[in-house]
Amino acid sequence: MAKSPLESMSLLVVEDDSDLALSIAAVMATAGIKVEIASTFAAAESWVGRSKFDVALVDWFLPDGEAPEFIRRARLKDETLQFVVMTSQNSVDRAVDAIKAGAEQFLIKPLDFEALQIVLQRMVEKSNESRSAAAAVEEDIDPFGSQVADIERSRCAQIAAQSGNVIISGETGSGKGVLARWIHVESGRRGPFVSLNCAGLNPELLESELFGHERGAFTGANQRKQGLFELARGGTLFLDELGELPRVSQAKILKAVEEGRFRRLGGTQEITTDARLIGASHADLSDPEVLRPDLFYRLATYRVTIRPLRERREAIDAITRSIVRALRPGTQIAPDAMAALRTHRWPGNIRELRNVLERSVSLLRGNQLTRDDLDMLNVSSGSVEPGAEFGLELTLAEVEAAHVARVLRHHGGNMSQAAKSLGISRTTLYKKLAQHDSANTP
Amino acid sequence: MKLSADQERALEGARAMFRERLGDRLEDVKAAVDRAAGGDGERYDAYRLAHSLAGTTATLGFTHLTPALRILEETLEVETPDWLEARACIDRVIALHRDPS
Repeated sequence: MAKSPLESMSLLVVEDDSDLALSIAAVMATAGIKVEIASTFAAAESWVGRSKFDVALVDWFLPDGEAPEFIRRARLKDETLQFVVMTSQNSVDRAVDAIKAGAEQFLIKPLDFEALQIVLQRMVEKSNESRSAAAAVEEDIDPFGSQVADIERSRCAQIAAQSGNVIISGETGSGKGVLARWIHVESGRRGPFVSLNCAGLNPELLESELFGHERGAFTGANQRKQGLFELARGGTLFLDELGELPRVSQAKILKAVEEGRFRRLGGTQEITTDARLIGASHADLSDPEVLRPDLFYRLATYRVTIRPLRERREAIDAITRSIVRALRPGTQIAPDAMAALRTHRWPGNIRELRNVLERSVSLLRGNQLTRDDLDMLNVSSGSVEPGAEFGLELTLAEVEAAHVARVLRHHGGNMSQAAKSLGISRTTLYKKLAQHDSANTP
Repeated sequence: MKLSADQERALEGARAMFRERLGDRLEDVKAAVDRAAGGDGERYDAYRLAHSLAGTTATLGFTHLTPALRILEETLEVETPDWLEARACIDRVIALHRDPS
């Protein structure tokens, strides 16, 4: 018999009425769901910080706060966690507040266990689908994106073949994680690629994640946990948002990196690791205020800077094609769609481009993505850059020639109208056309 | 999606456990109302206990108690409740629990 999706699910019940919480836990655990209970938002936050849950079922009203604030804080710790809010008041305002905060579902008490189970099943199915789609896209994106970037690709391949640590710099969304994964794959290292986003983690939690802990090391440490340094043995440990590392944790990480060994929290036995470290940040990690210099130099054996997407427009075509291919193989991209994508500044970089393509492809009916199909509604306003349709590799003369030709085409070859649009005389326009012709003559 | 037979059994077990604890929980609400009415406790604490118990009785099928608990919750929701009414409410709920007929 096929395994129910619920059997792979983990649920955090955030409810201060212990009888209700235990009842939910008893019914859902019988369906194979792994359930934990938190009776306060503080306890729930602590759970979210140290364990992975698919869904948090959250009562609106707890002694230490209300659901929306908790959801906002918890999302910072785990952006994939989904929330179902329960309340005894069927209030539109509450539903709107909950959804604005990031809740997926809103259930009214008295709770119907069958309805809850259906909601959870749908959520876990959706979560599985989006995870596999995201993973497919992540793996298929070519972080370089074009032949122009062959020099970067070649340098990164050389770096991948070495064993030294790497620091990747770049704006948010520029593909630092994708490049880190690419380096790991290219390196041929046999161990796994494991990653941790250091942003928003307090030192205790961060150290528990990195080094693991022994049973009883602290309140709530009910069982031994392996840390990421241990899990990444023979592979790569990717630390994203490295600039957010608490100062006190930097010293401990430095020691582990220098000596290649560490102890789990509460442990006495030394554990060795040969994980390669790749750190990434949008901040300047060479700034001693951000990262202590000894740790920086230990990690910065190789340094790679990813240029923002707006500075490598020549890569947009290839990156777009690789994302669309991963999302829906066989989908064609019409020239007008590609032109529209090229003209945006993409302040959110590849992540923003990917989001636009995911939304657009998910709603696409045929097999060709046109300009009209592009869901650019949520693209940052004012993001169109004048002249952005021209690649950075063009010279000024080439840009002028292309623009003149375009204006002429627009006016159907009418020299007077084209000259007027360009703000030059007809004579000057003829001269420019002659110059461009001679420049193109071999 | 219907609950499986095992889940129904688990729910029945949870209800049985709640039934055993219900008397104590009602006494907790009564004590909180008495403390708040006498100035030794917070109205809000009594309100929260009533609110929580009303929701749980409704969810776990003890619906004969829910309407009276909701009236108690509403009585305690205002800044200066009618304490006589609040005490009468919780006494009514306790009586209903002891003799559902």
